[in-house]
Amino acid sequence: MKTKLILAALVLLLTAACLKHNNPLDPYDNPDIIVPDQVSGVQCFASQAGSANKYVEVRWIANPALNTDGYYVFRGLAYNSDYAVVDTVATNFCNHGSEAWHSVLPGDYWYKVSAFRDVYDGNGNFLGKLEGRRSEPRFIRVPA
Amino acid sequence: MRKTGFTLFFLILASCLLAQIQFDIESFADSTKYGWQDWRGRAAYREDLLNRQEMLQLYEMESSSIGAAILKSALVPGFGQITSKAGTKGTIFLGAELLSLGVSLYLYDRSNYYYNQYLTATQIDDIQQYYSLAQTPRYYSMLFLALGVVIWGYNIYDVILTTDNYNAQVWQDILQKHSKKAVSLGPEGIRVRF
Repeated sequence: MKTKLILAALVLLLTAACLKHNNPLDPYDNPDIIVPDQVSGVQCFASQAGSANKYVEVRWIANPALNTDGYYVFRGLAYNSDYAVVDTVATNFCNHGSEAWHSVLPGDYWYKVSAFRDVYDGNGNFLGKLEGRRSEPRFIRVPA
Repeated sequence: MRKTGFTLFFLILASCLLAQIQFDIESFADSTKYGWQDWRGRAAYREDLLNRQEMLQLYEMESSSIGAAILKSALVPGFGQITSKAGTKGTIFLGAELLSLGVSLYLYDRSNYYYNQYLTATQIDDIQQYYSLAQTPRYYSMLFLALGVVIWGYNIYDVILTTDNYNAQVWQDILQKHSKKAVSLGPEGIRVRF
């Protein structure tokens, strides 16, 4: 009897300690939320040496439209460094350096890509962009 | 009028004298009826009674009330033990309670930090990672909180035993002190014990 009481108290305590899945983008217990697939097949191509406009072209295999509304392109200075979003595109291609606000200088870079999907609630209210798993980093050297 | 006053006075005087004749002073002063053999027995009994009253007074002053000790320990764990002269035990209870509640609070704070990160996360890995990082310290926080409650409960149980022991010890000390009194003043005069 005493052991049962202790076990019941322990179970009650651990149940009370359970945190709620309150993030509206959390797919846990919410089958309406579709998580975008991880992006694969990332390839990078840099501008030629001596070219005036430096750029990096990034291509990847497109995800099914069912789970993807667009892509984030990230750039880092090392494999395990922090990565920053350098562009957001709707297709499976990005020319980093084609826009005025892009900054591509000669050097070594690592690129990653992830897909996102817009999430809405039952009433059609926008809840946010759910980002899927990021691809493996891809190295590219931009010549001077 | 004057005659009536004198008559009343004599009647009262006569009744007082009659009452004195009827009052048996020997039977009243007979100490053997209480089990005393003579006036020495009565004096010894009185001395013993005074001694007991004095010891009881000392006990009342030096002993701890169990109710007050429980209240003290309920408010500050270990405080009841400390006032019952069990300082080490009281300090251990206080330290253990503070430690368990402190660790619980620290882990709860860590959990809340990661939970807030989880709530604002938009990337699937971050969502899962922050939730997991928030959940683990929350479990431990609750376990340490439960430990704190158990320590608090045991502290209440212990303060009853500690106060009981302390009061028993106080009584023993008073008894010892009284038996060791070298000089005592009684109706027989001053008594000196070597």
